[in-house]
Amino acid sequence: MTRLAACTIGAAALIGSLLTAAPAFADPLPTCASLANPPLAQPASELVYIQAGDTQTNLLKQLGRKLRDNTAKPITLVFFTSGSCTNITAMYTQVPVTVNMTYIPSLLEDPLWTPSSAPLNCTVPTPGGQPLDVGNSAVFTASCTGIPAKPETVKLTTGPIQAYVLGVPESSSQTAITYEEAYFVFGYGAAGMIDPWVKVSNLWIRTVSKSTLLTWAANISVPANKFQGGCGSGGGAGSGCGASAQVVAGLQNNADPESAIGLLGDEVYDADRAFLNILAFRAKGQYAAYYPDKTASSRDKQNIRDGHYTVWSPTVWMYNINAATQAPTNPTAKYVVDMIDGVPVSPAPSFEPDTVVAGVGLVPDCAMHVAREFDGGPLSLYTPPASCTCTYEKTVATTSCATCSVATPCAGTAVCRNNLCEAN
Amino acid sequence: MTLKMLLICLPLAAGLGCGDNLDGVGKDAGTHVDSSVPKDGSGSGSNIIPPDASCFDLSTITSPTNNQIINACTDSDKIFKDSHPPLLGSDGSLPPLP
Repeated sequence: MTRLAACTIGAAALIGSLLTAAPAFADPLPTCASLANPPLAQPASELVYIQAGDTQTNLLKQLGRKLRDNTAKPITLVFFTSGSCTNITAMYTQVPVTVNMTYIPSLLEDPLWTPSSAPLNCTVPTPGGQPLDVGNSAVFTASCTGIPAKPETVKLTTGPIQAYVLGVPESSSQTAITYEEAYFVFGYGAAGMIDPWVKVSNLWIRTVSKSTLLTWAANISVPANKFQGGCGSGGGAGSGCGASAQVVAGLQNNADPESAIGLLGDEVYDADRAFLNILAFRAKGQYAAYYPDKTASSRDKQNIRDGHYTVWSPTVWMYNINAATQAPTNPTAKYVVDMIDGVPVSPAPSFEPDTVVAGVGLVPDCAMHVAREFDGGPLSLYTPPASCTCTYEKTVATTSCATCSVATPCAGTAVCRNNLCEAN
Repeated sequence: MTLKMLLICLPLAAGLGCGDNLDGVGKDAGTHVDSSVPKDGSGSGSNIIPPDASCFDLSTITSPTNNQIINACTDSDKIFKDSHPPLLGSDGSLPPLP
């Protein structure tokens, strides 16, 4: 009887444990390393492990899909998002990723996946974690405090321009904010008395390691650690939102839309225009407030490119190199970074990288007409080595640039590129 | 009758003339309504600033400053905001943060 009871209990426990384990057993996460050899009839893929700011998620999703399907050189981007300053430190000190990373399935693996779908998860080696090939910051590295000195084994490159915006719920009646108002809203909170943004719990900010907060801090003269607001709590910069999606959700479902305001990456807003608005910003010494784009509804980034919208920073992309030879430790990592930075790569990909960059709301360096040396710093006129303004404008909107061909060259000193007459 | 006509027509003619003048100048090349005037042009503002203060034509400037770049002439939408933060200093300065 005692033996029968023990057997019954044991059998029940065994069945119970099998049932509990069944879902995980039926659908285990792949290891990230296994993505190099997909089980389906698609070619082997090179892997590039990336730690980037979450403002770059849309770029990595779009690029990840195209690279995994890139016939000339299939690449799988395996990525993890964190704050820009955290990412810089991770690259400089070789901190491996110890949590699940994400990747984008190929067309063959999941034909129904779209950029609005979530990335898929994969597991990293345990113990030890996954060393990084590429790191990203969406803010000048000088804006981060407490990071170690850059080692000679890390190469820094300048990528597309990332702008930042102040988002409001779609039902808010607010259309613009000035430098001075933003100083009082985020530096003083309710005591700043800038109506209607006087409810600290409705100031949706990011944490101090995030490029979104750091860039706004530099542009409104409020130190990052003095920001008022939070992630619905109003507890200050230490309690800011860890992810852009939290800011979006906080604004979108807000019970008091008029007092709500939040810090976002411009390209995050671009993906969420259906249910958010942004404020035009009047910088210090500026006569009027401007949107990042020519109008509230266009997507041309005209005011970022010509200096009328000032809240932006170049993205920084990093990869490992041999300090002695300067050669990339992983050439495929450099291939990916070059692609993002607008540098021609070989073999040529089966898609146009600049179109992907422009499509997610980032501005390629070659389409910029202004530059700056540090976050919030003064703007100066800039002429890129090979302009892509016309191509960029055609990609995101329309262009007034003249067309050209071998038979019909451009007039004067203009250069024919992509059948459009670029200034240089 | 003639005097009455003059009283009616002169202001109208002046108004139309001004309107024509503004239209000819363009969206922001000729006049600048500063931040004390709302976007719709209503309110107390009659402070029309000469054309050279409204925006900067960068094609005529060799090395423009930051101020000239951010206030360069543009066809972008502009929003003029009537803003008077209560804590702003009378000289426009910002007080230190708490």
